[in-house]
Amino acid sequence: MAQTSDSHQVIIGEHEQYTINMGPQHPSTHGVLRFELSLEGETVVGVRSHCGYIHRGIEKMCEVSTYQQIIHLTDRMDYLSAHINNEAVSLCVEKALGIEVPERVKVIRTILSELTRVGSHLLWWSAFGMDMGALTTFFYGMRDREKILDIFEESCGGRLLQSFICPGGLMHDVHPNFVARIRELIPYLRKKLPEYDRLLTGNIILQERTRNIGVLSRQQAIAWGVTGPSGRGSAFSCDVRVHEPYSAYDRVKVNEVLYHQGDTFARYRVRLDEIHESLSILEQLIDQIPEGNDYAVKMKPIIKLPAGDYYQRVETARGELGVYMVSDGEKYPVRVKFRSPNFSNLFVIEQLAVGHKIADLVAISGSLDLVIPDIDR
Amino acid sequence: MNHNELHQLLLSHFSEVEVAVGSQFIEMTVAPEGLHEVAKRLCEHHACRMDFLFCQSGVDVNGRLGVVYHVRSTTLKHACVLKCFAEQREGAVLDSVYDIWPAAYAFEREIYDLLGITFHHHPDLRRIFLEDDYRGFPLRKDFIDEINIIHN
Repeated sequence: MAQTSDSHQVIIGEHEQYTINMGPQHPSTHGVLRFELSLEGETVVGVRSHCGYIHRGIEKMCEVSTYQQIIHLTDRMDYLSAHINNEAVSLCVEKALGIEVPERVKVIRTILSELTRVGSHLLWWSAFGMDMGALTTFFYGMRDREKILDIFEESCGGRLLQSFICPGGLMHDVHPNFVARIRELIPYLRKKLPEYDRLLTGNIILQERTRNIGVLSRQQAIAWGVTGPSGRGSAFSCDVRVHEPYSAYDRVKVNEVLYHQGDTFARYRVRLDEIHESLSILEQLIDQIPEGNDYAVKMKPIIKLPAGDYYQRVETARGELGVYMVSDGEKYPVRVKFRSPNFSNLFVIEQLAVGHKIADLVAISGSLDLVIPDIDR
Repeated sequence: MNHNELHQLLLSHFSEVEVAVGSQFIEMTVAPEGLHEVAKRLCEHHACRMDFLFCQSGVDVNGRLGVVYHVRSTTLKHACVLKCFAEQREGAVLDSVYDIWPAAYAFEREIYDLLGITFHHHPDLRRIFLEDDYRGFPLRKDFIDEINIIHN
């Protein structure tokens, strides 16, 4: 029990527990997520996560949308992986219809996906530094991500929500500057990335605050379905690009980044290494874009999938995104389920944070790279 | 293991379950009373080792409520689908697979929230997205929301 002393200060005993809400408006939850924390002093003894603050019912809306319209809803799930979400639905529809898109489309889709991944990881790095109290990282990361957004803006029209990849190919052809811009971007980022390491990775405060914090074992990662960089930080080999290549990933060399420690620092290292890896994929693909201007196959104005159920998975910047579609042969799907990576990654935090301080919870949730609209959908 | 080998394996080890070859996965359909036992065997049998529940979806098709489990083996690299339909719509109940695949914790809460299927032995079955006092289950086909009308 809390006692009131003579000076009206609340004194809390050593082994007393109390409950406090972190969120839904809290800068380090990166969105509207609420953690209900049970604390002993500053030590976390229990976490319960409450979501649904930004639930828009995307799966319900999909049931009254045509397959072309669904594309625009998927952007709004994991808005930092918009291209990859679009690609997941497009691939699922194409698989159901048995459509093979042109080689050029496959390569451009893969390039866009990798640019998205780099952009997303850069934003994560910026925000993670801020969570740790290093404000400068935000300026570095945003400065470099801007170059990627400019490429998107030029070719797709949108900077954040592009809705560019659609069933059958792309909405329209990429800008003539597309290739040249990416050729400039790769050496630029390669030059800048060592700065990131000098600024933050080698920093002793960051290392002390992330090493051995929030250790996720490989078994835990598999059991709880933690995928993406968070799973790979625990040596769970779960990269869809490697295990089930889609688009043009079968013709490039993708090295899966794996770390064995499973702590916050390992997850940090995976993401930074993945930026390098994505740049090398971009390097391999940028000269392979076939000549010509075919950017889509002709699709019927109203797409009807044959009756049945279809599943397609892709690797977003945060893990495995699965699209499960049930069709009865009509123009609207009967059911669309998105297996979103963040939804599965979130609940493991209830185990990771126990025994650590509140500040460590911020580091752990930062290292899981949660995007809340993707959890709530 | 390829598609045919897995099909043969599942046919021989799960004789009481309906095993069909789908366009992508081997699809098994199991009755609610056998669900937990079949799921446990899928996870633990040395030739199956489906240790990763990568997707669990609630569906409302042909007037029946059901759950579709997509499971994969991280060691043997094969995957299959398990389907189970509840016997009735009102008070639909299935066994929880949380003790086999902890990933089901969140998936089952979501299915309970949006489709109203109750899971026996789930540790903490509450609504996950909607308010606790929300009435009805939006992803059911017979759901009518008088406030936010979405229909085609």
